[in-house]
Amino acid sequence: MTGDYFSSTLVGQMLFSFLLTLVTQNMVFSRALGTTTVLWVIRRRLDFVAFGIILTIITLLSSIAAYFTLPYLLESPYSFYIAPLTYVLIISIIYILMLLITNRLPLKHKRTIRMFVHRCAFNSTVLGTLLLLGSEFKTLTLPSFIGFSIGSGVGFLLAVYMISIAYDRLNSDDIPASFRGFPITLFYLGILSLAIYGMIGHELPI
Amino acid sequence: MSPVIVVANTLSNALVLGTTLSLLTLFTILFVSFTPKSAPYTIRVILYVLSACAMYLPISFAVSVIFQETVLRLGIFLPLLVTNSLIVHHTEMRFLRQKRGIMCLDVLMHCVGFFVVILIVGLIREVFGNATFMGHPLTSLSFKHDWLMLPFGGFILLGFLVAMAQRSRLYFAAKQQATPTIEGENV
Repeated sequence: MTGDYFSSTLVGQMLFSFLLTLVTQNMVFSRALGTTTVLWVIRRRLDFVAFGIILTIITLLSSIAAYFTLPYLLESPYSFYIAPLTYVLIISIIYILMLLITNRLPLKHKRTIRMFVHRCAFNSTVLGTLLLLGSEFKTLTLPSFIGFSIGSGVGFLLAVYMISIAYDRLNSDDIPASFRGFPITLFYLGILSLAIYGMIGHELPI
Repeated sequence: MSPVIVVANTLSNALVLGTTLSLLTLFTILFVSFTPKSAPYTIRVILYVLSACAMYLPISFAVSVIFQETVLRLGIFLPLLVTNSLIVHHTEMRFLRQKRGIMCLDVLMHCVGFFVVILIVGLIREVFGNATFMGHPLTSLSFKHDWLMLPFGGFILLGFLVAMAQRSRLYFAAKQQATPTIEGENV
């Protein structure tokens, strides 16, 4: 099986989109989407794996719903103006469904999961993913949508992990007081962003 | 934060971003302050964001009529402002816990503060990163740091600005502690 053939299959398209969003188009490092949430998760020392999984689920379900809504949305000459409203309606429905499911399931840490769902729903990673997918709708297929949205969520998780491993050092007394905490974390994010930029070699479309 | 880091790399971008953010946040929070407090949290948050989307319609239309080319350059980052943290989190945690008059002033000051910071970021990045001012080349500048135009530059510049703010805060806190009063208490 050749590479070209594989990338044209449904699995290939999904995997390609997934890897693209996970690394080279990482939402946090290449577009700074969800930076505030990343820092919120790390500062509160929350279970970032659970948070990332919930974010991935919300992004995935929202993007599948968006895939079937977009043909109708793009018919309108005012799609640029009404797109956020459409996406927010989709996210709101997924948000309510996620909360209902969380309440019904016999989960151990229901309260924490509910808090994560609240925080994940109206997050710039979720809305940003939908807006990006919407802008590329004509060139993407449903597997690409699925791969892209899973990649966004897992990419977010990867970003949280990479920042969390350095966070204690970035907050240590070795850092000058003026730079300690948030400023030095922004520097660290910037350096990681530069590394990703170096890998791509060009600016991403916005 | 993401729109500032990625697209506030020229003064015109920053102007559009700051104007949209300020108008959107101000009108949305004023509008949602009439939301009944008895409504469940989930419904309230959805109403906040839906209200922001409704406000986004006329604001983005007006902005795109005035700054047509700039709006296109901002891409997804303009509609993304409907989920900014002032609307989604601060409305519930801060603004709606105050009396309406104080809330209006607080929101206005937040918007002005954000607007000024966005303009500063845009100005520094355009002048030093592109050697232009509002698109006009600055012939007196013989250097330009292209990296400032990238998201990487946005992170670093914002880091420096936050460090400066943190430094001044620490300085004034130390000064306040060092000022003795007649009774020996701190002012």
